[in-house]
This record gives sequence, C-alpha cells and structure tokens, in this order.
Amino acid sequence: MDTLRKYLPILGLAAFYVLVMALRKAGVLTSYYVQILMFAMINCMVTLGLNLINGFTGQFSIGQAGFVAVGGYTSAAVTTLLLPSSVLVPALRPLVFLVSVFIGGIVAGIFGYLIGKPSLRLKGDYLAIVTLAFGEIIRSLIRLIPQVGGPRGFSGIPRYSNLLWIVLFFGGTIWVLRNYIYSSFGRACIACREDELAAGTMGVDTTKYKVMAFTIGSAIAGVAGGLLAHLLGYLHPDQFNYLKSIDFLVYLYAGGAGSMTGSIMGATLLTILPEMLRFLSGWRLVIYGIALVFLMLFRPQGIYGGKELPFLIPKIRRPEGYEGGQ
Amino acid sequence: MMLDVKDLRVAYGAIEAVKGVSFSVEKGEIVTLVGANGAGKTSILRAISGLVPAKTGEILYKGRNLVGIPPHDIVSAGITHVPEGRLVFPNLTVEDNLLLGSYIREDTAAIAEDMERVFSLFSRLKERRHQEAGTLSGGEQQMLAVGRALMGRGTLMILDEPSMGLAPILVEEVFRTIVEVRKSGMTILLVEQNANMALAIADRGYVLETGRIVLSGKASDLAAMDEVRAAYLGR
Repeated sequence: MDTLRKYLPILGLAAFYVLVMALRKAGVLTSYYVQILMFAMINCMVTLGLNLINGFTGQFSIGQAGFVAVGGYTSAAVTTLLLPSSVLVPALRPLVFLVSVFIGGIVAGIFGYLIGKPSLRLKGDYLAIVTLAFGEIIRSLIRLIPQVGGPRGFSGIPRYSNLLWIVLFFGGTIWVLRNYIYSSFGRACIACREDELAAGTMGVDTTKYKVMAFTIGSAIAGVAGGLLAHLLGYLHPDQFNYLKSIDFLVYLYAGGAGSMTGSIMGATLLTILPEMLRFLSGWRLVIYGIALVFLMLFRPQGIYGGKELPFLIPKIRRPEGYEGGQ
Repeated sequence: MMLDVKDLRVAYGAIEAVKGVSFSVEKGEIVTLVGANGAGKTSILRAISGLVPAKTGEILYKGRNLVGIPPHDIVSAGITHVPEGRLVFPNLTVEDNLLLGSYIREDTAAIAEDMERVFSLFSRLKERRHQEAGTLSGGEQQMLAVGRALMGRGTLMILDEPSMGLAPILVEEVFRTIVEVRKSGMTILLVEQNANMALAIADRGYVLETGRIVLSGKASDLAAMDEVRAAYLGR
C-alpha cells in the first residue's frame, strides 16, 4: 500500500501522458489543445519556482520572466549555434536537448545568485526593485546580441520539446521542490518568511537561505525557458517583458502562495481560461480580469492557499490526522 | 564567568540606546535587567545575540568576544534568544517550531528526545503538537518560545520580556517555567519590565535607566530598596 502511494504521483503523470496521447490519436484533442497543455505545464514550472521565492521564503521577486528568458536563450544558443541539429546524428539530438535545458537552468541559476546575493541581504522591497530592473535589463541586453537575433528575435530553434519531455521536467520539478520544501532547508526558508528575526535567533542564516531559494527558483524558471524555446522554435525579447512576469505573479497568488498545489492549479487554470474564452474575441481579457477580481474578493488566499494535496507532502512529515497545511 | 559585557554601546543612527553598560552573568545564575520602556534592555539582548551591531565595547561569552560575529554563529556557540513578543512561527505547527529551535543540531535521535523533554515540561504543547502555533494562546506561545529555545541545547538563555501581554496568572506560570529551566542547568539572562516578578526569581539584578546601569546587586536587596520600589515596583 505504501509503495503504491509512493509511486502514485508517477503513475498519475504517466496515466495523464498516455491519456493525452490516446485522445490525440483518436482525434478528440487537436494539436492546438495539446500545445495549450504544454504551455500550462511550462507555466506551472515557472510559477512553482516563483512560489519557492515568494510563497515559501516570503521574498518578493517580480522579474521571473527575465530568468525564463535567460534559460530559453541560453539553451536555444546551445542547440542552434553551438551544436545545430544538422551536424548531429538524430540519436544524439535528445541528449543535446537535455543538456542544453540543464545549461539554461544553471545559467539562470547563476544569474539568480548574482542578483540575489547583494539584494537579499537587505530586508524589504529591494528585491522587487532589483528583479524588476533585471527583467528589463535582460530584455535590452538580448536586443544587443546579433548572434541570437537581437531585436528581430531568435528563429530557427529546433523544435525538440514535446509532451513527453515537458511531462518529465514538470514531474521532476515537483519532486525536487517537494523534497526541498519538506527538508530542514525548506523549514529554514519558511522560518524566514514567518519571522526573519525569530529565524535569526534560531541560528538560521537568513541571507543564505533567501539566496538559496532565489537561486533554485530562478534555475527552475531557466529550465522552463529552455523547454519553451524548443517548443516555440522562436524567441523574441518582447515575449519576456514585465507583463509576462506579472502573469506569473497572478498565477501564483490566484492559485495560493505557499502551496505547490495552488501554483499548479493557478497556472493551469489561468493558462487554459483565456484560451477557452477566445470565442469572446475582444471581451476575452475583460472576462478574464473580472474572473480574477471575483477570485480575489471571495478567496483572497488563492484557490488552494496554505493547503496541499496529500501526495505533495512526503509521508514521513505527515502526522496522523493531518489534513494539509505547511 | 559565563557572560561578561564590558562598556557596551549600541546606537541606531545618531541615537545611542545603550550608553556604556557593563555587567556579568555567572554559570547557573538567573540575572535580570530591569528598567522602564526605552531603557535599552532589548538593545542589549539583541547586541548579545548579534541581531544589532555593538558600536563599541566587548561581549565576552566564555572568554570569547562575540562582537561582530553573525547571529547563527552565536546560536551555535550556545546562546539562545527568546525574543520579545515571542515571535513563534505562526503558520508552522508546534512540532515544526520546536524543530526549528534545534536547527543548528544534527543529532536526530537526541533532537527527538529533547522534543519529548519539552513536551514533558509543557504538557499543553504536547496536546497541540500538530496545531499551528498562531492558534495557540499567548501563554502557550510563550511556552513554545521557551521550549523552542531549549531545543538548541544552549548553555545561556536570554529572555526578552517573557511576561509581555500575558494575563497575571500566565505570567506566574511563565516565571515558574523559567525557574524549572534553570534547574535543568541553564544559565538565564532575563529582561523584564515586570521588575517585581523578575527580582523575585533572580539571583542578581541590574537596574537600567536610559541606557545606563544605575543600580546593581542581589535581587532580594534590590527589591527591598526604596528607590527601586518607588520607581519600578509601584508601592
């Protein structure tokens, strides 16, 4: 029974993949719907990374799209400029793709570290200001690099991403974050959120954990960026403006900060909702906005704020009669 | 000598909150710093645990100067701080709060033992071990803050206004606990506005006034002094 429970999330993801593929084959789902699902999962990953920073560690980063851009452009540069698919035997292509996505994540993580280290020593809104500026600086910088297309955009990126890859990375992200949050590292991060002074008196090196959370959250955004680049086949700096960052914040807070379940629900629902409202044409974003206003009026803590589905809590941390919460 | 503070000064910008304070705490003692609001009591404690920088002076803990050392290293050295206003982590369970108290330790088995020890000291916490700390009453939160500090297995506990905002009956309970904690071998530095209670359980005391020590001596002597009684004990 316990083993079954342990592997249930993996089985669930596998079943999800098989189901989507079967429906695709049967013609129920067009490639348009499958694409929306893939976008939803990528948005989930970015939001989960942001949740570690904003939701669990209590900092306020508003430049998440900048890290997606760093990861996306870096991994696209690897697969397009460094090792283009034309020089690779087909069998090597998935490997190069995998490595490029990880490189994108690592580079985004390094950027996160370099930005977090000086700005997270300070308490308050400094991180918000710095990350907002970072997002815009990255966008301007990319425009100045002709090798990746500059202001014309980066085209010709091989479309390596598919549902399988994205499901795998999505599952991997959840697994990594779950194990992080329910470890002593995660508890230290949550302590920083709850009360930084008290965390300090407990011997928690608050700056270290804030920087660590920020670096991991940025790296996850970078990985998602790599997947996105190879899904779209084309990147443009303006895709990653501050409005995109705001989108991720909306996903996070609508879903419920401090809950992985919330991030997944928020990002999924709010990625799919605007697509479903397409028949309303011009009124689409009005309805979307009204839906958000009502959500915040009637459920200010977010759809799943402060709670967690049981399979996202490792068994060892779950006492008897426990019903979610962190 | 457990703790020896020499000519400590703490300033916030141009304003000096602590103006050259010297005092000491011997092993196994309860020492109390009493004084009115703004006397500099909290600033002294925060300087000891490294949360605010000392401007000048020395804080010798077991012979080692703590000035300039970051808070997490001071905790590792054995000083646990129970902050003013308790500052429990409201959205974490009682157990998680206690585990955070043992944050600097890695001996998992002993941590579990110490948690049971805290639960035997505070049975109310045991009943509420899976409850979020923010849902506890003020007195229970204070118990939790003390229990959390015990989890660090320090040798010196510094308590900042443990009676703040508590009903009189709970204040008595909290002070009984402090005496219990001392019996287990802990040295205690206690800061209080409730001078009456603090001097009743302490061995020695210092009276602070606007950043300076104006009186010091045995707690029972201080409690008997006319000027202390008039100024702080309200009778």
